[in-house]
Amino acid sequence: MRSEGPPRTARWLLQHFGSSPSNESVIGDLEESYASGHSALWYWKQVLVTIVVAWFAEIASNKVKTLSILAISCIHLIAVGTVFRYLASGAANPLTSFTFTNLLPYSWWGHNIIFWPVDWLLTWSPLFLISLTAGWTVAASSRGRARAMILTAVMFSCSVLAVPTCRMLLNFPNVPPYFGVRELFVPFQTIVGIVLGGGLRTRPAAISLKKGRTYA
Amino acid sequence: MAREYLGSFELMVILTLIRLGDNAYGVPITKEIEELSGRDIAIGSVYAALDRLEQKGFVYAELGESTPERGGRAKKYFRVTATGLAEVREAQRTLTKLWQGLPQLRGGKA
Repeated sequence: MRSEGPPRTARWLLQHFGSSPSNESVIGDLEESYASGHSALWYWKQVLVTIVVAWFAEIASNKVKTLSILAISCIHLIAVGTVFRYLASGAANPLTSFTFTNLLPYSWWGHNIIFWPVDWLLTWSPLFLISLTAGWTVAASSRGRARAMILTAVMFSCSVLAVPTCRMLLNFPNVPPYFGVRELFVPFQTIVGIVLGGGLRTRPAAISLKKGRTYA
Repeated sequence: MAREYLGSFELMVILTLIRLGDNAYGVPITKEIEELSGRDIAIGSVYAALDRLEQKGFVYAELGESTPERGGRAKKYFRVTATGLAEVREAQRTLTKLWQGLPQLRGGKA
């Protein structure tokens, strides 16, 4: 028996994305098995299989709900794309222009050290807010199955964003680094926004059974 | 209500629960199936089957003790219900009938 715990990242993933009704017991069983001598690789494999199997089981038993989550994800991605196209249409986004002409001294526009953070913040924060709202909506509309449905939204968004992200990466040497990084951050913040927005709505896993017999 | 049937992995899990009796929780169930089948089994797959069996009313669960090596998490013990036991008997009868009179299976060679 060993003293150090199982891989933290794997355990975090299982705690936050494991959608089995028995998730807490699964984590306990995996920790017990790991303490008895299994390897970190074994633990990772178990965690990934557990997340995928529980996720598929939830999707299979909630097909209508899954379709509605996919519809929410489609609307979310269209909104992100439309708003990003609007904000990134020029050298500076319209919100940045407004800020430097009305709120900040206009002379600051010429200082990169001030301009860049303001421009990035005003480009990303509306997009991040949209993704946060999408994650929250997914969790709020899937009571009891929030984790599985957030994972569905994340996987769907990842698969849709994979192609444009690869295209951006291939095109990265041909655009100024400032624009390249600004574009590449969009898929990243989209996924993080969904996860965090869903997390705001999802409480830590509660053990569904009290001690003693619950079903006869 | 439509009648619920046992899938092949569910049948393996429920038979293991009967074998283990009072000590049937995730770890020993998975070990027993691995030993008897000679295959690597993921604990997550066993729990997915147990959750399905619980939904069908073939097993019930109760929380047991928590230990330090489990990170303070309680064990979830599973027991077979009377309906589950009846379903296993039915599956046994059906499979026995299906196995009888098959010349390809005689002699224990594939």
